[in-house]
Amino acid sequence: MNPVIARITYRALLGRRRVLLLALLPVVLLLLAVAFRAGNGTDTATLLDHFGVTALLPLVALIVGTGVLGAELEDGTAIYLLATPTPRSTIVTTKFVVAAVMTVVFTAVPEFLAGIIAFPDRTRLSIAYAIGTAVGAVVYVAIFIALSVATRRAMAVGLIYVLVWEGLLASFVSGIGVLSVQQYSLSVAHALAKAGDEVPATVSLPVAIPMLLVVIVAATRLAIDRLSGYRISGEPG
Amino acid sequence: MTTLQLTAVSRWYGNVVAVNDITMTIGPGVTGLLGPNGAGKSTLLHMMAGFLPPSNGTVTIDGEPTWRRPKMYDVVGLVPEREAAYTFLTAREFVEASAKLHRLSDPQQAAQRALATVELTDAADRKLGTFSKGMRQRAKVASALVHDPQVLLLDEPFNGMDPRQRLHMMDLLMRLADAGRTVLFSSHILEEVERLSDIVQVVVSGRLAASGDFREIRRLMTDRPHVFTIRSTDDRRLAAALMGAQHTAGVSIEGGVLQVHAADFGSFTHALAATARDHRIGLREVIPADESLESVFSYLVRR
Repeated sequence: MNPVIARITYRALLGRRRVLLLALLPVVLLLLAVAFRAGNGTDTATLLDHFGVTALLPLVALIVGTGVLGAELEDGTAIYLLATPTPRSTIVTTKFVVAAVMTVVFTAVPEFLAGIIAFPDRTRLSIAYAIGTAVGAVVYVAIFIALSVATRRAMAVGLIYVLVWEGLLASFVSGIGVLSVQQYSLSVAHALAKAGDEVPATVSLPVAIPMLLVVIVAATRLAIDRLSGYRISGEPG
Repeated sequence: MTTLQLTAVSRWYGNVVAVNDITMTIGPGVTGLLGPNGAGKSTLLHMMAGFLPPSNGTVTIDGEPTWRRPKMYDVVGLVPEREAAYTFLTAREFVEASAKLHRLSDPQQAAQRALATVELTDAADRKLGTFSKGMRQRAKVASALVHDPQVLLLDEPFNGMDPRQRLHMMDLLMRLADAGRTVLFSSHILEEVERLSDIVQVVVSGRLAASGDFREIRRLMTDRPHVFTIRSTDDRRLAAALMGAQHTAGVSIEGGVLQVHAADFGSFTHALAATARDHRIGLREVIPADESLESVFSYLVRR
């Protein structure tokens, strides 16, 4: 963790136009929560899972995860970090920590608020979903940072993973849940919720925890390796 | 003394050969890497700067490879060509960040010194986003100089600079070279390289076309046949007169256009004026047909 890189990353992220999207998405969730409350909605899964864990979480993580390092590699500013003796592992882990904190702030916090707004008597469930979301945020950003160093199309690849793999295939093929960050989040939320609370998790916690740790470590190592061998491309000039 | 050594270096992208079997040694002083756009200068510079592995051969600084070795930035400073910058940082914050990333013991003082070197002290607390291209370029140089590197690599540092900024930058690079630093910059503009460099490496189509003292290369470039397109008050009579003149290698009139092949650039231009005067022919236009840098280079390559 390097404070100079952390500060620059944080300011760069909040300075980009995508920060508007970051702010907008949680606001939509909170508005939905208000609508739920007004309509006396009881379907917790629709709000906290479908809109929170399934939609808000991966989108915010994708914006932040590809924004902290990939955007700097793309616009050329990352060169000022890379042309220093700073270990590449320090750069990646710093970016990871900043991205994880930002994503938790923009997903787990509104998830919790949405829960207590829509279902005031289900605080425990709201906390469970918020913690599940926070865990998912950490795993997602690790993946998206690695993607953003490995490919210039990180945003597209990330969207395909979220929409096609997690969204579409996982609902047809049950085994895919083992490789779905969304399911890790739900698994954690399920474990923390009270018995009888409906959290639709398909992966058990003893499977989810080791899997998500493996994913975080593997993605981070991949990102460090790719950044160590970062090439300035472009036309041979 | 720090030496940058390239040995039999090639770099290709798929089927495209960007750099072809180049060997060169770069030591203290200013070295100009000269070549037309697309010649492979940036590719070479990226390999020297550790941002591209050679497909073949080795690129080393004091015997250590540059690729995948972040520690080498302790002795190397890089000024990239791209204009990108952290526009939300002030020049001071930007240079101080670089000082901290180089783990300098007194980053504030180092930044202050680097900003003074590029004469940005007055604008140090303005955001980079408000800077002109030339000022931004100087901030980039300050950031690359903050740890007082032995080797400074600059990719097209004069692009987008006005003449005054250009002179200032040239002066700065010369001062660094006088202090024993190894300074290498790339350029496609002959005059920049001529004014600044002790040593020139001319790269054309990925190959090292010429290498060494600039005066020597300049002589090769000027003492060579040139083609001139000439318009005069009487092209046919001038053609006939030039046929007999010394330093004329050949004369042709095709489609009403008089072209003269001169055997030597300097003496021909003198002889042409004298011949025209002696025959009372007015010269309307004398255009060196192949004065573009590319043709100079291709000439060098053929030699």
